[in-house]
Amino acid sequence: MTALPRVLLGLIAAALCFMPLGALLQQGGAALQADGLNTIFAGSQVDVLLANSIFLALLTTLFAALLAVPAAAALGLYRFRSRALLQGLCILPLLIPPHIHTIAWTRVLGDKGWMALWLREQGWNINIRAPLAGMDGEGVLAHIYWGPAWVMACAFFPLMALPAMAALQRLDRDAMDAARISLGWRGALRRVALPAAAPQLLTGAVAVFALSIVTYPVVSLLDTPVLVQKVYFVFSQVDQGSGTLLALPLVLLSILMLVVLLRLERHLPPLVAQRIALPQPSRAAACVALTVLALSAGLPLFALLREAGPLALDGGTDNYQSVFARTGAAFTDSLLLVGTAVSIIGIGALLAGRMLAQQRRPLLDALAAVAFSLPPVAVGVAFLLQFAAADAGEGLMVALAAGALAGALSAGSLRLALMCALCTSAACGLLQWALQAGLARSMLEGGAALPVLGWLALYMPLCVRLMRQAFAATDADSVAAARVAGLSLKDRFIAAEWPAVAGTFAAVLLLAWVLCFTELSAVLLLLRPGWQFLQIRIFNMVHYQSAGEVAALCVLTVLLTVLPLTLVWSLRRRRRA
Amino acid sequence: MPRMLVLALFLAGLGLAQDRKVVVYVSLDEEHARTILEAFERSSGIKVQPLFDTEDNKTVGMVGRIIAEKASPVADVYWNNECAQTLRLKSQGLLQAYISPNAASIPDHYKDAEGYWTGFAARARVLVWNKTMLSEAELPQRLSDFADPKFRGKVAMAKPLTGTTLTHAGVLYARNGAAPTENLLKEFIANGVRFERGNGQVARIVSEGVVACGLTDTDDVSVKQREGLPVGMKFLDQGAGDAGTLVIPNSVMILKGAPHLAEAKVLVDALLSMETEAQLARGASAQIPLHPGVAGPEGVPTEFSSMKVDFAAAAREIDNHKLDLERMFGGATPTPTGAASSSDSTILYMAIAALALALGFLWLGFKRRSNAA
Repeated sequence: MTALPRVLLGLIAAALCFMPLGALLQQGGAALQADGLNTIFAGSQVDVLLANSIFLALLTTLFAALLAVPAAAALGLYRFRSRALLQGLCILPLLIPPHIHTIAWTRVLGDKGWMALWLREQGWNINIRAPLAGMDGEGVLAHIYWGPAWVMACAFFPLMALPAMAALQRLDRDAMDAARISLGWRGALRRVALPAAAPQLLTGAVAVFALSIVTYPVVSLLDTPVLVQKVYFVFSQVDQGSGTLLALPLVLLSILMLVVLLRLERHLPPLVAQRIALPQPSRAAACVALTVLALSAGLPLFALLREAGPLALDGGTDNYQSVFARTGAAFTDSLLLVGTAVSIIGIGALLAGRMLAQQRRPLLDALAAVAFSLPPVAVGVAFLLQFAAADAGEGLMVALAAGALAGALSAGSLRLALMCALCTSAACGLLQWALQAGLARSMLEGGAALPVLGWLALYMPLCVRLMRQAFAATDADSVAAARVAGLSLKDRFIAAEWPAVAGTFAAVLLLAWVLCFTELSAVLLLLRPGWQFLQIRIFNMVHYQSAGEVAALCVLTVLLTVLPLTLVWSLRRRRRA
Repeated sequence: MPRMLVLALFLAGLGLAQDRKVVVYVSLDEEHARTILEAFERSSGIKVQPLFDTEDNKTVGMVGRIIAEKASPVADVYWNNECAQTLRLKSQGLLQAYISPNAASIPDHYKDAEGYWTGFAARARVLVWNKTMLSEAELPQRLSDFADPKFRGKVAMAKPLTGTTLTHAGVLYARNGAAPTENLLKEFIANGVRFERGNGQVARIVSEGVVACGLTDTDDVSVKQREGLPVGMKFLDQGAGDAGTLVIPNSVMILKGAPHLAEAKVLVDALLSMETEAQLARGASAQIPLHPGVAGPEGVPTEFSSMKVDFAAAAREIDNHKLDLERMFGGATPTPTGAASSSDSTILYMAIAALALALGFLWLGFKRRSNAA
């Protein structure tokens, strides 16, 4: 592959990732000059909100660890009936969008949740919205919001559990047996199993922390006073300068976490393909795994199903039918928007991953980190700003310049650096012309492009990274053999590379589907007139629609999220059979 | 590949071009407004592209968006669920005058004399109360009763940062002056009034029995009553010498530079028609019609003493006191002074130190293990 297409590709990716950052920094700088920090931060209690955010993220990570460690140990170290099914189900909490988790837990532990009422009868005053000290409490406990932390832990703990489970499955069984004989069950777990999975647990913990500090829907629905909620409120008034300054601590914290994450990742042992002998049979492990899954996914889903009521099989109208009649267009629009985004992400990741397979890692890692660490709300506002005015091209130019600089620095060659500079000037000119010629209006009025662009900026780098890793791991000898045999590029790809990357490609598509379909924070600001999105309908309906209909819509949404995974899983089973 | 990407984005962006369409931003609750707009679409043949507000940033988000888009307006019409923010738009020169023939019978004080906006289908700021928790005799009679110690911890209202509650605060500032209004709000905070994100939540928690009563809009109470929940509606400040109940109309306006002006006028005419008001009165939102002769909503009294309001003054007061309200209600907890206590700041430093320590220990442990390996 020649250098020019690679540079162009890098520039497009860089523009997508850096555009939000460029636009925001530009606006933030302007606000700083215009108003000064004092005006923006006066009386906003930003320090307290930031403290609450950090506490919340720490508590979420702690809760997630409490769920992930037993689940990983039970499913990674022991053998029991339906273990494979439970391992598969471990991903279910991640597939339920955080706001649906929240709605479900409100029905359980909210002001009038059935479990909260029962606990109140036993003398325990539990309210998912209140901090540890209660609504009127004071002191440190008044800043510890266990409810949103628990909800986010339920949603994100698989990020810790799944990699740890994989590490434990690769554990040397003889060493584990020896440790169990000499140290006992607990000693073996503490001295051998947990240290073996520690890097994965730590990596997962950092990811959970970084996600929970920028997740908006949970804290919005539970009215938790944290910084991201304030940032959204300010951004939603399109007060981008103040919003940017308020968001900066969050962005910096997330970037710090992701830098730690990337550093940790380098130390992770490589994945080993072979399986080690069957682990010990244990019924207690099955109970532990079942309990964790029941707590994190079973209970919320049960609460939603209970609230939604039964299906009317006698021909009457149930909540599912009535809410579907009301939101049918939202289903169509959501599928269209997410389908477009997933298609572009899939094709883009496949092509870019192949091109970048042999490239050095730092640039792509940095891009993935920057994109993922930005609060989605900030990405939403940045795109909105970018296309709100016909002459808005400065942020894009900043972004392209930053991308070109990053590309030049990463490539480390004068020729490539010059090429980057040339391409940047040409691309800036072209985009400026396109914006002024009406692209901005088309994108704003047409509708689909803006949310799709937002999702691309947020998730494309991660997907490209996954595909790049898959291409980098393909057997170089078989690719070389195909080249020597004189196969064309297409045939070479089909014969030598596709079989090795097909699994990852399917995973990338599914990941993109789940991420885009369950995303709410960015799309809340990016959705254009005339379009509907299911998650937004749920988010709005929860405030004034009947609880049964909202629950029914949540159930339908979860089913729709899980559907592609179920299809791929059943196809895979059929193929294996 | 890049060409394919650009092409795909272009197609996605341009794919939904319509010949006759109107883009409308809506701050009224989506479930209530959508029915009206769908009916208009069917009857007029004009494609309506609505964008709805969320409960979290009611009205102020949409107004902020309109201001941000002023160089290149996207929306043709704005259907606001109140009118103080409308006056902010007018003062910034973002509206276009249009006097609809259908607005002729709407009282003059509910519309702009120059035709920049027109009010219709109003809501009243009322008390919602849970019938299983309070009897009618025990209810607060006026808004200031929320500061009465006998209602401590029993009352809820929305934070006066968005929507009709912000308008209400602006009206109080305009009528009573800054110091009395701020004192009243501080007394509310001191008396344990529970401040929610929006009026919908207030009605919800009252209907669930979390608090006994709350200040909200008539439509929110009506929705809960239609669900069969045990809630009642009471108009406050109805005694002799009282100010009366605040009535806030929806307002509709055409934005300056509207890309589809002709269609926008048709939509505004339709929204200001008696049929639409009747439909809004009959529907779950139970809006109070302003056209004489249109039947009012079921369960909402039509005879009551309403507050005399200068919405323009209220809009000015909102601009003047936005930062004060933000200080009181925009932080972690509603606070009379708006300043974070020193213990709160200590907590921040403790959290950061704890985080740094935890990360440091984890990192050291991990390094030690890696070195051992």
